Amino acid sequence: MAVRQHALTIVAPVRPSARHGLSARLDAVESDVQDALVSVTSLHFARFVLIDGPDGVASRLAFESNHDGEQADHLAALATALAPFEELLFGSWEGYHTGDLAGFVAKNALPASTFYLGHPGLSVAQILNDRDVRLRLEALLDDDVADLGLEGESAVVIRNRLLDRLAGAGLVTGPVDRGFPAQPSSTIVFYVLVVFVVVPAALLGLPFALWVESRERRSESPRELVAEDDPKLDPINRREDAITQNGLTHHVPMRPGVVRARVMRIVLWFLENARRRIAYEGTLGGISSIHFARWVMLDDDTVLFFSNYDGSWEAYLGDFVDKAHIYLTAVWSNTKWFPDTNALIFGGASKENAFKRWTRTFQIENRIWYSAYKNLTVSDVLRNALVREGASGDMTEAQARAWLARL
Amino acid sequence: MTQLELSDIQGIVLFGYGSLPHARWVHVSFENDESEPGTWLSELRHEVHASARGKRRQEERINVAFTHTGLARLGLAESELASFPRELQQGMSDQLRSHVLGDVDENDPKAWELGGPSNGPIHALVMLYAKNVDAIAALRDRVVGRIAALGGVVVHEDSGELRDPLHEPFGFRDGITQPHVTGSPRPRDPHEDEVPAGEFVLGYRNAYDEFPPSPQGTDGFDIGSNGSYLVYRKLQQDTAGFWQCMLDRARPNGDAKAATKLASSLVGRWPSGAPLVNYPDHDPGPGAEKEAFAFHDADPAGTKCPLGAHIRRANPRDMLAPSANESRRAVGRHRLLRRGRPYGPISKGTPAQRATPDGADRGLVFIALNASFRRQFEFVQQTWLNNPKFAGLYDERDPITASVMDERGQHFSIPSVPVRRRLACLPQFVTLRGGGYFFVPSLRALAWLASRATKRDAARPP
Repeated sequence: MAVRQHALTIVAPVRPSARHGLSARLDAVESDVQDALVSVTSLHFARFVLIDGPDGVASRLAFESNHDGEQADHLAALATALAPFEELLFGSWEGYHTGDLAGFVAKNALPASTFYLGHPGLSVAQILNDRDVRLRLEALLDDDVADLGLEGESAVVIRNRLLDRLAGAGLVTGPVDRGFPAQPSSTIVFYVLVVFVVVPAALLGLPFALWVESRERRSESPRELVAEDDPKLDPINRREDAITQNGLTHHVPMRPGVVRARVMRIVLWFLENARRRIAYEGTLGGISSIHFARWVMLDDDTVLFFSNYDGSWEAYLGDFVDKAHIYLTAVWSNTKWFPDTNALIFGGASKENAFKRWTRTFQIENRIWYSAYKNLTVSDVLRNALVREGASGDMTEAQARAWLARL
Repeated sequence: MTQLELSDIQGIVLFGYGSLPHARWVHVSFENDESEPGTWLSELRHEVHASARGKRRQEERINVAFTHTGLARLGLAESELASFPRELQQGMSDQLRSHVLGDVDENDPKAWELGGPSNGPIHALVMLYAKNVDAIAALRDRVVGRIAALGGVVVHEDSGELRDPLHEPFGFRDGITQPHVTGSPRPRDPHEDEVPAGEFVLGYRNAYDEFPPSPQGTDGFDIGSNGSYLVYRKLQQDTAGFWQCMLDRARPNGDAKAATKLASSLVGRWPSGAPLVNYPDHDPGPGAEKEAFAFHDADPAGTKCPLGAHIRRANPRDMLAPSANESRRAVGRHRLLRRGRPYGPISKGTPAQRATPDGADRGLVFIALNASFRRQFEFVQQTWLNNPKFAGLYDERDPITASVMDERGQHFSIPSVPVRRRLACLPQFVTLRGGGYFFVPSLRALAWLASRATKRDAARPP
């Protein structure tokens, strides 16, 4: 039975009495919370973020988790692991009753409009197992082929010797069902829908979109983008650009008007369906560095974006600009101060400097951020899975060579 | 066709001054309140060389650049200072920059000999170039004499020397690949990639077809126009340690030929500069260094030139995901113009001779120009050279330049058939001794800065 990955998002008001000094109290427990979350074996990534109200005071606490399996099981494990921090973390929410995380989630969980997964069908346990398989094999090879008496041997012989040595380690090897549909029946329906509905609708709507665009360009307040010396960037910079993984949180108001709200929903619906029906194996827009990402629309006409990605901010944003600017422009052109677009999907995110400054302007600091496998990139996860998959059964010389080349 | 204002752009931006082998880099401070940087700059600016070919015989060259602290000392207003890039404002030794650049442990700014928190502040970098030893000494004395007379202090000085042909201290041909700047009067070598001028000179369109952000004066003067940003890093190279390690790890152990082969696989080129991708088995000798090569089709698995080799990390060409074309396009947005030169005595001979410690201080003064520190120099450093996950690798950094952050040393994988070899516990061969981020103003901006500074000089307390 394949494991499915899910997104859980809660954005709820903070009790007024808990607001004061909340960010400092969250910062103070971050490393303890990270340690505690290790016991939640269904958890890939999680974060707590404070969202300021118009008065600049933290008025909402947002939580995201990316988890395996049933939500009820996940919540039970979360509640147990975070029991020592319940009052601070969950108890800061208005209307939260002690001991009833499930009840609060049932009332307050928000759907992700678009949820992107970089390695679907691989559970946390599987990812950690695959990492250990890879590391064990690498270590065996580091002992040196000469020492193992394998010099001049064929790939098949070397592989068999490695697998013999791996056998006692108690690790799972061989193929695992990731739950991909053998023949996704809805894909064709989606293409038909795109060709006969989405494209004509987009063409019909184009003049209207251009009119909205030009009207807004005149009416929107002048952009107040973050300055090069803005002190808000320091804490964000201090946290990010960790060697392997980082978490980006971005929160931006919508541009006013019913048109923008509609377009936003249609674009996010479209991306979500494209992801489910075409890119279900986890590649979208040529970017291979995102573990999980989501857009969530909030009821105060703002949009939240969470991303758990590999490498530096500069490289990640560079990928956005170089490879995915059309998708991102289609989404974010509906939001405040986004760089000027043409026909809603051109311009915008392809304007490197303007797009990066806009992103920085609405980026907010994570208070608590957790990853179950901090040292693994998306490509590590996928490659480790291939190594594990090939670590059982018989292979031809050519297959064995290809498998060994992954190490 | 981009028309560059050659008479306004400082010469160092477009030229490496290859015909002037001797260089001196003088780091200057005008910290003393009695000093007169305005008077100094008003005089010096007339001697600063532009990129246009002058009438004078090209026997010497003077160029000048400023740190952010230096610009403040010249009397720029708060809002003007705030319009410079964040990286220049913070400076290379800032903690956030060290975090991005990987300047930690052995490379920590605390231990630097220039530009670090325990060294004196640097305001200006004066770059001097001349034909021979006597000429560079005379030029240096003349320039430094004037600085001292006006109350300035020389905080640090480095000398560099181009050898013919240019080999860096480990013995490898260096400085082979440079991008060709669109509109540059320098003749373009056929193997050079053409990169839009705005990647290196402010005021022109860059690789995104946009104008790079440019610092502005409160009077409407475009301070950045025809200017550039300069990275200075003094890299000390442990030549003896490097060759000893290569001899120790070579198979057979201690074999000169095998050690050279191993060292070349770390670099990605043979000592002559010939690329391993074209010559995987032997060094063809000088002449092949300028040959065109690429990675994607020629060596997808890295069995000719290891995936983590220095030249791949410094310039991945067409090797990055998802495709050769996408890779070329993306890589073109992170290029640098290199103006560095080796310092210290030449190390010569067989690997065993080079491996004999002689106590000499040698290395490379790395100088690079770009229009964006964060998108160009810092990106190359962070996302390519120091990235343990570069190109699908698991846990290794640049074998030549990266600081070793793990006390166990670092790995280097050499893909081969049927199975890779992984060197473990490599020590650090290159140590950062100091550096800084500088702004290289145009000649017009130098005049503007000089007039600002002169006013500031005059306003100082009697």
